[in-house]
Amino acid sequence: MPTAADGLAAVDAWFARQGWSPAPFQRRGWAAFRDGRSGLIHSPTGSGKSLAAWLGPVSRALDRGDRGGGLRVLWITPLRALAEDTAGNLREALDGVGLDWRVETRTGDTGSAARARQRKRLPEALITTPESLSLLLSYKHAAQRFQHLDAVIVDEWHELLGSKRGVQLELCLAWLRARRPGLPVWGLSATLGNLDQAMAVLLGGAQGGQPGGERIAGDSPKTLTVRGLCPDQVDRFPWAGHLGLAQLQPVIDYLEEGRTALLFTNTRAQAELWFEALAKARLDWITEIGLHHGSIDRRLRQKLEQGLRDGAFRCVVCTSSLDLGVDFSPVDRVVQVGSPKGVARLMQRAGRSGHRPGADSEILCVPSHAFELVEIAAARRAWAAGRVEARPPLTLCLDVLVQHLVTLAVGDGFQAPRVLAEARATHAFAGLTDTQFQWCLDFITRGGAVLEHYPQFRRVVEDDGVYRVTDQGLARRHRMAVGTITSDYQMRVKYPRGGSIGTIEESFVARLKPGDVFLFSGRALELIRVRDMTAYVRAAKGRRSLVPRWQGGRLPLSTELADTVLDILEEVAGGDYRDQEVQAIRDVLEVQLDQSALPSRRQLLIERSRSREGTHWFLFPFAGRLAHEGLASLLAWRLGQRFPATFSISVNDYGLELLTAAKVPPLHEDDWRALLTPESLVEDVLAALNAGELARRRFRDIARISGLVFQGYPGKGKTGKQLQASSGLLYDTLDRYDPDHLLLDQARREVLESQLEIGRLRAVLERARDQALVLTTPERFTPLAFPLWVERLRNRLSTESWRDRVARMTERLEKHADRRAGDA
Amino acid sequence: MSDSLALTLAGETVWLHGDRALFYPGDSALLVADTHFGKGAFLRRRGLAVPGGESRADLDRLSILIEHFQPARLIVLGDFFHHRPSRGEPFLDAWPAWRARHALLTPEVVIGNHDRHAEGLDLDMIWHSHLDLGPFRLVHDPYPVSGRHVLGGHLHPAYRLHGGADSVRAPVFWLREGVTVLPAFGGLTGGWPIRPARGEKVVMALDGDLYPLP
Repeated sequence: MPTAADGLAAVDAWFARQGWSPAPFQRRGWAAFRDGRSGLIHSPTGSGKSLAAWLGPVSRALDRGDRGGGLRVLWITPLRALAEDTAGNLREALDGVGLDWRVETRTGDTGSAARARQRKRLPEALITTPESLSLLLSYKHAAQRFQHLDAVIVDEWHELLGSKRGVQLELCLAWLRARRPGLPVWGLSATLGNLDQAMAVLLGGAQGGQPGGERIAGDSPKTLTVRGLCPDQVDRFPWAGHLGLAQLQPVIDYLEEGRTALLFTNTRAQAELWFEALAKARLDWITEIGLHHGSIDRRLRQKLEQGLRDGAFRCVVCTSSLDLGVDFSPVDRVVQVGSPKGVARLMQRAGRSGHRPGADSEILCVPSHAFELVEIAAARRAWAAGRVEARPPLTLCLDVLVQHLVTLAVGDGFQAPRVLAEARATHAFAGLTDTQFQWCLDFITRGGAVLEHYPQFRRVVEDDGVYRVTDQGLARRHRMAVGTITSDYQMRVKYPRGGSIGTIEESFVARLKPGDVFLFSGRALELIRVRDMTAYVRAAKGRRSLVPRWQGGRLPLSTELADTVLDILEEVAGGDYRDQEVQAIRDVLEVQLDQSALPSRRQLLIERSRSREGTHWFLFPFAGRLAHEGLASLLAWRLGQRFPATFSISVNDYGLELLTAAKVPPLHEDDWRALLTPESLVEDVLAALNAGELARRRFRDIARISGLVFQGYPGKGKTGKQLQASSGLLYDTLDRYDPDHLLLDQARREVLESQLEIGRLRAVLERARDQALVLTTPERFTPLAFPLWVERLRNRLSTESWRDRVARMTERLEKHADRRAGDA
Repeated sequence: MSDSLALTLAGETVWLHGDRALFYPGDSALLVADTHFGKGAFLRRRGLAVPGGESRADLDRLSILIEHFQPARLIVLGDFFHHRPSRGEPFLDAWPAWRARHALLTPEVVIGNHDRHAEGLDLDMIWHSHLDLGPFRLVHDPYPVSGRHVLGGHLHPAYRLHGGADSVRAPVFWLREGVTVLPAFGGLTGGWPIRPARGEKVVMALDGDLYPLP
């Protein structure tokens, strides 16, 4: 008879053969799992978390002499690109301890033959994404597939938390728990500001009926060093900008000292430009540098990742596309270009280097303008003080719930009371009311709460208390749609003779005319034509090119980082320059102090300047660009209630600008106090922002997830075209005929919460109540104001109607045309 | 900006209307394209929860246009139906009353690709493969024809207007050499983004108003 010690003994023996010894946190993880507990293992960087989770179930299988047969461990990964690498690592451990289990992956990339085989018989360990797990529930006899399941491990849980994919996973986990009571669930996470909450969400929230989870801190990080690249001559250093290319030469010097570097940028456009600049500056490196971002074709990216593993690159320019994943051990240099934006993210990036034994991790931060040096110093301090961002989980995403219900209906069918209990066991739907749930049932069976509005609707049918989808076409289309929570409106970029280069946002391509040249995937490409959601291109020569602006990646500066910046600025106002990065821009900071003042947590700085354009007001709450956008619109609207004037708005992570050409009275402290009141905030913001239109745009994802629109079959051209309707039209239609539709409500809520960060905006106003207001009237733009003026976000004041906006846009076009005619 | 706009096409005056219609006074004909009646019901039968009412609203918009222009003929440039209507469909319920309200008009349709589904339905309408009217050739799919100015639909032309970070997308009339493409009339129809070539004109139809773009 095997004894309980066998499994762990095999693990120890394998570790010993490798010359490793298990870390205490790994032992804790194994013991906790073997006690049947659930929990969360977290550490700032890679460092052995996977084994801490994986060897729990593996060692127990060894104890029991488990010969397999059926699924034992479900391993959830947020990125399908990670699945194969993970499988390799898990198999290696199985070989090491001598357990004969199959490890397979099942993602959107898995071929149909493999998937069909898996539907008949799952391997002992399956690595899959939330979408693919959800799809497994949509096939008949779903519960049987999971009857031997012993553990669920969720890798990179911090990536899923706070997203709708995370909510989808919560629902799937609740479904599994209901069928396998006491099922242990383990999460692996990077450092977060809300780890307890992260664990509670994973384990089923307050009402999960689970014993308290075990929170296990991984090994404390290797030494992580954050260093800002300080320019030699500050007077030539830009006050504004977002490329950082002025620092190209010192960065090249730094790369030259190392072996393999990852150079992170904040946007794909920036990555393209840096890649181009490096390639131009160092022709001799041309085969040793690579470009990696989310729009580049997957096969090219995989080749590049392999090259990184093999140490074939000197430098890979990348975006958040390389934030996750297994480590590339040759990497010994990490560079961050531009604002770090958040503490956790910067540290995660720093942790991508130095995986050789004994090596430390360092990240070199390259500021793109002067003030970013303060952010870099702030990031270092916040990290040292343990101030890391939280990721708030989402709640009551009815679109995801509706999708889940239909998924179950497509599979074995569901009974309403049981499914309601499961949903309420999740954190996301713990507060789901009976009315909301009934609405969801109505939505999938009758189209909506008011039956007369949906004649001939047919989707889910209730029969004797069981909800089912009986139509095979419907079932097929639903499965097709389940994989699309994340997908965006992307166009393929291809050469005419085949040869896919990647994908690009449709909105960018829509602005191009055939013959235009743009920079993509490190190449200058000329657009030939657009057909069937594909942009056909050829290589272009020597003409100045546009750089695509991708939508993603415009993260706002985090509160933790912004507040630390304010602390540093307060020190600076007192003459204290203790960080070398801050010292480096002393001149700039003194100009700011001299002409105006510095903001801090205790004082809100408001500058007023005049120029030929009119009157400018600059406010510096340091609350991130999203909250500033909301605040700017709110102030413009409230000002518009006092006197007739229209405003142009500009925002960045530090503050906002309001510009008006109208004659306006000076505003005194009392006026600002009234303008900045948190009272009737939501009503005013909604009035100010033309929220209807924002919600209409937001509705696109909601309509897709809830199955209100059908996107067609990916890559199948026109199939399904008759079924397509634009989500915008649908929003208008629902708004007119079914205004109480709960998904419209959700769209409005998402606009407030996610798009405008209303919580943060409220915090700004509440803080302002206690802050001293410092009103200054500098003669010229100050170093803080200047970037706002430069980056005059071609923003509109959204209180304008469509009519005015279109009129203004056509006017612009006319002017432009006149100017061209004048030139000719 | 206004709700209608007079133009000269092939030497004849026509009126564009912001509710996505074209009126040709020469023959007192009101033209719309791509009504796609019954699209909502079709989507609902396939599990997409689109509320009803759009077909009725489209008929009401058509009534207002008829009262405004008092045309002698009403011609739909194809894709009158989205799909074959099935029994109990709201459009079929609304149609007889609407016909009675405009008893003097017999709607005419230039057959479009979607209309093949309507074969054999008795709706008391006139179906044409194409139709010549003054200097115009009326068709569904707007290919140029020598010697005639083509008026067609089929494409659902739409255009995105940019001004800085702001943009608005709306259906358009697309005025090309020898061909004028009407925007889709149906309330639930989507748009196909066009790229006007040099010398072509675009007139945007947004919320009932027209905006000629320079």
